[in-house]
Amino acid sequence: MDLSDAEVMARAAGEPEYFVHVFDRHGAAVHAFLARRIGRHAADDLLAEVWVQALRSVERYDARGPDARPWLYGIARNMLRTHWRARSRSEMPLGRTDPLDLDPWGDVDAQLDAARRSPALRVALAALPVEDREVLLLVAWEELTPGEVAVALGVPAGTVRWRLHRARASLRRQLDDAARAANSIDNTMGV
Amino acid sequence: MDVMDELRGVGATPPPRPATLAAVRTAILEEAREVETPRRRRWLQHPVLSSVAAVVLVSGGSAAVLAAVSHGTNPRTTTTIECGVDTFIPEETGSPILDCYQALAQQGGTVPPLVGWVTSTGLVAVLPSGQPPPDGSTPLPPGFQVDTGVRYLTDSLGDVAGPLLGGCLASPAAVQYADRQLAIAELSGWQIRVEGATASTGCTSYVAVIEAQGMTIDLQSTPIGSSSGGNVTVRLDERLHSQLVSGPQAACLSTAAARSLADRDAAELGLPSDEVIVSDGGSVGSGRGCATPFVEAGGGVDVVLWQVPRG
Repeated sequence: MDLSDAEVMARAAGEPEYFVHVFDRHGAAVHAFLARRIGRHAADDLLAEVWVQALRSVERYDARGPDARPWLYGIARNMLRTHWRARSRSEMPLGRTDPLDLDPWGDVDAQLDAARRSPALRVALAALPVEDREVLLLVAWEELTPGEVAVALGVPAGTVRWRLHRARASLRRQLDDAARAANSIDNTMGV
Repeated sequence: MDVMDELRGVGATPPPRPATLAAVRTAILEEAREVETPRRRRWLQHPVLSSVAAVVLVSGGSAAVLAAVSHGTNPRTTTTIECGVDTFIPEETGSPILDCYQALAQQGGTVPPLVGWVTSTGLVAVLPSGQPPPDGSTPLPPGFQVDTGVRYLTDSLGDVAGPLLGGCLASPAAVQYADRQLAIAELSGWQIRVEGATASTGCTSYVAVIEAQGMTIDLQSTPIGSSSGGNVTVRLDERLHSQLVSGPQAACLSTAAARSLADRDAAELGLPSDEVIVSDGGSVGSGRGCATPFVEAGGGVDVVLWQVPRG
């Protein structure tokens, strides 16, 4: 019998060991979420912390969500922020103590598939506001719907749609500009 | 190639190693055993508000509520204790003497030695040593602990951030939630009732009155507006989005027309007008656009209407 995530989570709330079935379903997806952002080795280290934290919070799971991934990504995201903040503090110049405006894009960028990325895409992604980029990547990489992204980030779905719209438009515009600039250089050089 | 496809291409990552998955699985099972065995102990540290406090706040009739939870009760299922004379505090740690000590310590000064009593009506009272208890009281047994299952129930059903108070639940869903909490607390044979009005539009909030002796949970329902916070915000957002952007009858409206729509929808959802700020966010790109809502919850609800080109 195939239970929905909500049914498995409800059972795990009463029988914690049952939670391992949630891990069997989504362990690899959460690992991929972490690995894309901090690399495979750091993801290996953080994965257990995310799942133990999720188990401790299982009673807070909203059973109206049929898919547990958005909720799990929300927890993973919080753990990542802690990870980045701790690192940011240790690397922060003396006199600066507030890492809240942290943009971890450098870490994420370093994990992108080097063989496939284009310089224009890197530049365009780096130029996005942090919150827009976060929405874009949850949709593109984690294949969440805007409603699911809203659960993961704890913001209204309309906000997510708006950020996604803005991010896609900005990315497309910048990539078009980059392509036009490249063509212009090619034409000038007679290529 | 679409930018999303391009992004998907660069985000490819190898699957985790089997050894990593096995190690995490082991960690989960170890934590599960930790959770299972001393779950009752962990409940003692659960830092949420007691439902008694929530009931008192909502009903404004503390005496009646206290009677409801303590009348003829088994002291082990009490949710409220008397700490000093005529001062009632929610039971939080499982140990009434510790609860009372902490409450008095927070007021400052030296806390005298305390003694616990069970009154003739089953109420737990904690008084300074030497102070006579009410007639018919008997000493609280050594090592007395309040039933953690009932305490878990009061915590979870009374959580001000929980789904009963703020989740916009329909009546069957509220009963289902309470039933699930009973299962988690390993309490069986209880009856759940719903009393009161429900909202035809907007949200219904439920206050749980737990009568442990009679093994009943009364969910007192009340139609509410903005006090459910983010949930009404989400509903407003969804309504506006379906009318303005992607619903079957979505219209391309000017900001002024969309503003009227937002005001009307917010009122229909029970949001007080002074808690809703609808503002003009400006235009995205050039040319004529359509109003696109952007709803955020803050101190109130902010609705920003952008003019965004469609296509």
